[in-house]
Amino acid sequence: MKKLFFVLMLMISLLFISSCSVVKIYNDSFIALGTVIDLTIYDNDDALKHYKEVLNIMRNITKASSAYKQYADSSVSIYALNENKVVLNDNKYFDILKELLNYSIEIKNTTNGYFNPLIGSISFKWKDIIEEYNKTNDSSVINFSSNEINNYLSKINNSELVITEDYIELKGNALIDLGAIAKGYATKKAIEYLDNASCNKYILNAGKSNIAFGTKPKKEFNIMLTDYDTKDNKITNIGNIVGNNMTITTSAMGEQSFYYDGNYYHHIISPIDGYPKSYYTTVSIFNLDPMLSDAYATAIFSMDIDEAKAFIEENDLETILYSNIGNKGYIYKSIKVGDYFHEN
Amino acid sequence: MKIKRDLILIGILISISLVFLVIWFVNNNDIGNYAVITHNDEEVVRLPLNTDTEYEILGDISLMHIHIKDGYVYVHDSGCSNQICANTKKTNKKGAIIACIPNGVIIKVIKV
Repeated sequence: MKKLFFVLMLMISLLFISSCSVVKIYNDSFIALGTVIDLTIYDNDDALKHYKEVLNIMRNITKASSAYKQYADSSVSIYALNENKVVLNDNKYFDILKELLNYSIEIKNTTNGYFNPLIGSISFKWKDIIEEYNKTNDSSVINFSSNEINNYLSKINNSELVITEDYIELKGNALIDLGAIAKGYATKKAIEYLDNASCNKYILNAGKSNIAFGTKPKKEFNIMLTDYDTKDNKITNIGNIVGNNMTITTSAMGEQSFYYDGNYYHHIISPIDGYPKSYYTTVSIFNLDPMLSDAYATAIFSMDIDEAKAFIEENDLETILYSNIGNKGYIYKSIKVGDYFHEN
Repeated sequence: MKIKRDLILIGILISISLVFLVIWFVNNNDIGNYAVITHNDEEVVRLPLNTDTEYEILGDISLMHIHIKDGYVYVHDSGCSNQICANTKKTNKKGAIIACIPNGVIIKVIKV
């Protein structure tokens, strides 16, 4: 009887201990930067405060970087710069825009022009074509002639940004599109805030393409890396990323794409010749400043495999290149990719 | 007598283990039981996934019809231009999100 009593007490104690170690989870989502941002914070009494702060950071960056919409409280934005060619330093969004554009110019140089913030006139037109085709399935919407593209490329090459403490000026007839860097920049700013606030048990998912996480209580994060095949409308599991304290950035053809007459049309446009390239269908970069990896993944998308490998080695990147296209389907893993990647 | 007591003890331990197993399974499977619909950061409604429902919401640019059928939630139709929300597959997975960005609407599956 004593033995029975002892075992029951032991079970009750175990139950008590396990109930004490329940992980507190705060999770919520919001729309910013044209996507859904999902933030989960573990074991933190100030989780709601941190969530609101991250929301605020990302919404401010949305207002400054949007090329599609003029927000009522922000006269300083890419939209305003594209419309008016100049914005003045008269509100809080100016500093965000200035920093974002300075980084963009720097990255344009380090990627030899494969990332270019002045790509707007061409990228906006391709985005319209993709949206229209996916709505109508009408191939006549692919009406972007090579002459027209060359004309835009010449405008891009003859334009420049002048950035001062008092104003930002867009000289020339190019348009700015920061779609390839804004989400990464916002993710960078959000995780800087979380780190400074000593909030290190979290996962931030910015539209699936930019993911950053700290440590997960009890076990590691396990993120599935997938590829979308626009031709067959099929999702493939490339592999799983298992670990803590990482960033994952992915550029992919994804759903903003279509296949017609042997060609893939998607939203990642080469600033070199103005066309979408199909060397890869997914490019992922791990454990780098999310802003840099966002812009680099976009740049690599338009490089052929030799150029891409040289760039990856030169910048010591942890990168996976994946293609699902026909017989060329393959996966390339840079030397730096660690044991955290489990190929499917 | 001793053997009988040991058998009772083993029986109790197996029963307790089974109870824990059931509790663990209920808490750790990834099927949600509610769809939470938010519009511009405000929760509009919480719909149980175990009841077939057709819900209409006016988003920023158009009406949306959100259906719950056989335990799954999906966007039946929306007036947005890209139709990404309507083309997103129905889901019942805990944490899954269906969003209509132009309408400012998020549908999230949760488990309570």
